[in-house]
Amino acid sequence: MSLVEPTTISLLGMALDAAVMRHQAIAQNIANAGTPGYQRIAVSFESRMAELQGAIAQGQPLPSLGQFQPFFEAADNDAVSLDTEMAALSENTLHHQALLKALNKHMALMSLAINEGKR
Amino acid sequence: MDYHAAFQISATGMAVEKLRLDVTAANIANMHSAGTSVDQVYQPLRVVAQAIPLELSRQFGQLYAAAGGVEAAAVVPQAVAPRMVSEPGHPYADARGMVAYPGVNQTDEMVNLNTALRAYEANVAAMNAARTMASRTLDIGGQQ
Repeated sequence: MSLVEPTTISLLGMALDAAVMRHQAIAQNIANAGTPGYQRIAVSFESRMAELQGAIAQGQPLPSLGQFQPFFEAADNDAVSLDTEMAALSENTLHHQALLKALNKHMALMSLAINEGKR
Repeated sequence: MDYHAAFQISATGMAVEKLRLDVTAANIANMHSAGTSVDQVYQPLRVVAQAIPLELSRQFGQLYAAAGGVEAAAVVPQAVAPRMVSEPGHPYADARGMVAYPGVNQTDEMVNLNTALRAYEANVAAMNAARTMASRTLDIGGQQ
């Protein structure tokens, strides 16, 4: 095991990127609430995590993380409803804060190790 | 992380909704502007918005493109029939004593006004959420 365990931090970084991109997608959908013929957009990230979870559960070597980068995609539902978008916006903001907390705790753990358990 | 894009998207949304409010206000303000003839009467306006596409995939190693949002494609006059009112003493009255007023639909205008207002508020909420996310991100690795 390397000194600075890289998977957690890079996964959290990708999840944070996905949260920021999802925020952009929701902001785009809200901004175009009154645009005729608008195609909603979404972000693809969490739905592709199953493969990674399977590899971790079976103790296999992790596949390259590059293929799990989040990207924008066209959403299946066409009509923008402001209430759904606002709910998604709140959820995404909270999710982003949860990810930040996880990252901070992880770094606090490393800091504890570096300081030999002393405060 | 490119927070500029999120703010920009919400800002374009707010600009378009504000234009909608302006246009609705102009329609309501001109509700009783008599026209010198049937052809000269004020026509109610409508904003036609169009999306500025956000890049749907990663290209050339960029994580995402900064564009996105919405813009007003056009402000189009609506071809509605003028409202003819019998006012024989009016300076713009025609031979039959009828004066042409714009065919502004007050119900439509009020519904548009409220829809634009709510959409504007939704854009403000999205921008505030972006600000919260940005300021919390700045705390990464800080004191717990």
